[in-house]
Amino acid sequence: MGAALVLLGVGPGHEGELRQLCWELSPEFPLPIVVAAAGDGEALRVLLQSLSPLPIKQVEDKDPILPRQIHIGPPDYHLLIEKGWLALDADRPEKGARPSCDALFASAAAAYADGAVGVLFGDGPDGTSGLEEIRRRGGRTLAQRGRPVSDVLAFLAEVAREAV
Amino acid sequence: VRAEADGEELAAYCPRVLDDEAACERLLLRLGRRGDGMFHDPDFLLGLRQEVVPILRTHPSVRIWHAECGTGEAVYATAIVLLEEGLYDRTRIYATDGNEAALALARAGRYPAAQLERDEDGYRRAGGRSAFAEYYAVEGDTAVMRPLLQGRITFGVSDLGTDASFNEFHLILCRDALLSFNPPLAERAFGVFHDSLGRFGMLGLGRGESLRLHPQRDAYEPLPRPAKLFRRLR
Repeated sequence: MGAALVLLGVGPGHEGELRQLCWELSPEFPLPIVVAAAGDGEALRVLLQSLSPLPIKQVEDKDPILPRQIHIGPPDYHLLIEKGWLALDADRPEKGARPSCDALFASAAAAYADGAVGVLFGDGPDGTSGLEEIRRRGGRTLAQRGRPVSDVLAFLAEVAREAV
Repeated sequence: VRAEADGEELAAYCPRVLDDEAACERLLLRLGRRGDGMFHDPDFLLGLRQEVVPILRTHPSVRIWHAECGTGEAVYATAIVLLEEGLYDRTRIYATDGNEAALALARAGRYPAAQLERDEDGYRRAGGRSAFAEYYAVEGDTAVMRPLLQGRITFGVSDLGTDASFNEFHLILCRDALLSFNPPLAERAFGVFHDSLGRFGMLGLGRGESLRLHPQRDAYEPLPRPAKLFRRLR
């Protein structure tokens, strides 16, 4: 399978990178993007929408996964990937995080195998084992770890070229 | 992190309320998943108080269904709002769940005192007019909800996956419980809710939920407040 969807895990304190990514993302980016980020959901969505060329929707449980759209989870829920749709979950936090980037990545790996593309903005414990799970299933991953956002954009552009 | 602590406290507490070991085990499985407090969503309860109660007040008697009520925290929160708004003595709340062990905890109205003490702030933000501590009696480390609250609640076993509508209600609350239902099961549950609402009846969902899978969603309109409260129009 080629790349089918992009998962963005955003740890606390990394909203700035998410803003920059939304600002610089190509309006032609073809894949669905699913974002799990800590913070005030609707305020964050409105802010990102003011920057992004792509439509951004705050996820409601069982929303379909749509191409050319950014899906952002609401605060205080885990955001999980099912084949073709998104599930919210009110389970206890994992590694102190809700949403949990690990849970997002691992559920995407289970549903999409090598079609999942995982990107992590963050330097906490949350997200690394989920990225590992995506790699194990043959999907592509990038942990930003202090690299400039332009590296992430280049990575996504390459993923998009291969997906078409 | 807070939800985690609540879940563990309640889990440790379970064997002292229920003497059925198997039932306890099933319940613990479930508590591992959840365990938010009584007033963890004050915005919804404030909206209930300010926007929904005035609508309910137009009925001579009020029937409310708390579906998938779990261990019952949200049921008592609703009861407190209605009591403070002077509507409780003509209200009947039906609280159902498929899990008998959870229901036994709900019916007993006994919670770890430390858990309820943390709800005081949420109670106030939900528009509480008194002190939350007045609604329960503390016996050691146990908080027992006042009989005044329990008198108008009927707890019963009902499985949304198999059972049909059993009454008509003015308000149905099922918040964040359908998250764990797969789409066909959620669709079925919405059908049962629809059959259980009269015209202008209201359905309250969780903050992260929608009517997307509701077979008759076009028959509903959202109220401006609280979020995710829908009114059946036809």
